[in-house]
Amino acid sequence: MVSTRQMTGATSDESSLQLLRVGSSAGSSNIVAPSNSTISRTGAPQNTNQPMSNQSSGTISTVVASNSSTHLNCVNQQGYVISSAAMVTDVLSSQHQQQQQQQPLQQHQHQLLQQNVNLMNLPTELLEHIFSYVGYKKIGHMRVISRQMNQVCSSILNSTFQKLQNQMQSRFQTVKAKMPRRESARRNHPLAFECDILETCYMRLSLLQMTFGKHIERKHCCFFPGAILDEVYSVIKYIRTTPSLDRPFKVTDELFDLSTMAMEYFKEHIEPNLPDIAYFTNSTKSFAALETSSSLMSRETSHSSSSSPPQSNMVLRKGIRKIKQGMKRYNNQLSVLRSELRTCKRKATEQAKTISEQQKLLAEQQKQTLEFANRLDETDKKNEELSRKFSTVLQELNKCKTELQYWRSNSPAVTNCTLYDQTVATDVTRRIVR
Amino acid sequence: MPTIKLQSSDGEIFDTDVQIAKCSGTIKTMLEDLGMDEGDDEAVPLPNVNSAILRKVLQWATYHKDDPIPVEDDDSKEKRTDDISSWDADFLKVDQGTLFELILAANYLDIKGLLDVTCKTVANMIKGKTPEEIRKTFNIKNDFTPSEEEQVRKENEWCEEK
Repeated sequence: MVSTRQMTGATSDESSLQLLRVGSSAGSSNIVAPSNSTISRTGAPQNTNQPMSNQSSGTISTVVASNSSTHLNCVNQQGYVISSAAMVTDVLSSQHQQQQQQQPLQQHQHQLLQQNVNLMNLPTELLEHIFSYVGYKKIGHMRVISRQMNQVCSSILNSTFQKLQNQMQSRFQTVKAKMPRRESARRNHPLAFECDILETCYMRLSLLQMTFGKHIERKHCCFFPGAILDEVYSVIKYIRTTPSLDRPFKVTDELFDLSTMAMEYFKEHIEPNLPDIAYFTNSTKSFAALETSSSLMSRETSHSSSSSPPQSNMVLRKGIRKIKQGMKRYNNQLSVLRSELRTCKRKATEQAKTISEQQKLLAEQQKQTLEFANRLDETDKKNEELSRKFSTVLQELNKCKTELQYWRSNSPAVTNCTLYDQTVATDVTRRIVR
Repeated sequence: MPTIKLQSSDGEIFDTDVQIAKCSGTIKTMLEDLGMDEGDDEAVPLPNVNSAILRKVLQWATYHKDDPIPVEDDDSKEKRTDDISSWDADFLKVDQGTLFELILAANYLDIKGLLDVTCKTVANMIKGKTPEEIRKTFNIKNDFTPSEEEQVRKENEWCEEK
């Protein structure tokens, strides 16, 4: 008897395959004799299977559990429902009933699977395999379909571009190594045409790498001209299928045009909108690229780039041009910053002026408040004087009143009115006091 | 003729010729590495393939059992999609879900011939279609923001003649 764990282990080196390891809960064996159709679920707390003769555990790893290892994670929830349904049937422990109930469940699950599998659910490796049949130009155009598609297609384009560069470099170097050193002897060598074609291909790819490389590295964009990759492959195919190569420049004509178009378009329309790259922090990689391009340009196979001054001068000039461009850009940025600084200064002086004016206003207003306070004091004093005078008037009035009462009480004719007079008098005094 | 029992994810057992089963690289490697005895009654569990798909896969493998062993792909080799045999074309006249499941199964079972022909069929569904048509065919939602979409479109204009 062979355990599933062993079997999965046997094929585990196939990276793209995802064999399910059901072994964790299924004891020693997950294999069942064909005659036995008892079904149980993986990882159930207890094994409620019917007893089976000569079988250690007799567990079939069910539909549900197996799917959890596929890419269709979305099925899992339904899978859980199905597994619990399966559990109920299990407890009923009637084999016949189980079979009857299991079939619709399986059909249902199959339907679920069919509904959920669509193109974008496939693993990236499989998508890459499918897209390898449609051509890189089409892959470039397919990027516009959706974000995920863009991601997959961009990575295919970038990786193929990188792969082709490495491939062309190694092929070119192998062919070059087979050629004689002497220029005149090289011209008549049977590999001369192939060498020329490969050199042009490698050179065009290197130039493209110089244009796109930094931005691809920083993930600002991808290698969008897929047609170039198609063209390189068609050149490779031409080399392979044509027994006697002729007129190498004709073969690489299209590649030359396409790569020039792509580089021009990138520099004119795409690069200005991409984030800036600091040219002063040249990585070792770019130096390596420069070096390789210089060695590429040098026609003499035995000489390294350092021993061929005119070519390395060209490369240096290119480098200097790049640095100059960078400096120009920085200068532009600097002048913009300077003008901004100037406007800022102007604004600062204007604001200082307004502040001093406002301070003056504040001082004046403080003066006015002082004046008002003084006036208030004066009016207070006047008020006090007035109230004093008024109280003396009241006193006088009281005196008059008492005198009047006295005289009235002495005269007998007016006794009836006394009471009334008294109340009136008190009212008057009260009002006055208030 | 020696046979082997293959068990689909839903528990169905398929009694198959070993020669046919060995179309699958996965099963072939397993048999070679583990050296299963011919008399064994044990079924090989294939937890990632359901019975409907396994039936189709075995149908394909039975028809192609005498095909030469496919060689590994060379990148530089031209990839044609118009070389699908009429039997394969009829065999793959199925709904998209089944087709994708066949791709997954062929990948899992490592059946290069089936994987290639299914992938070619999907590639033919893509070829000659505009992005919008591809979206409709495979029910893909365009989730780009207008600016992102514009950026990608602008990049794709590099080789348009003016």
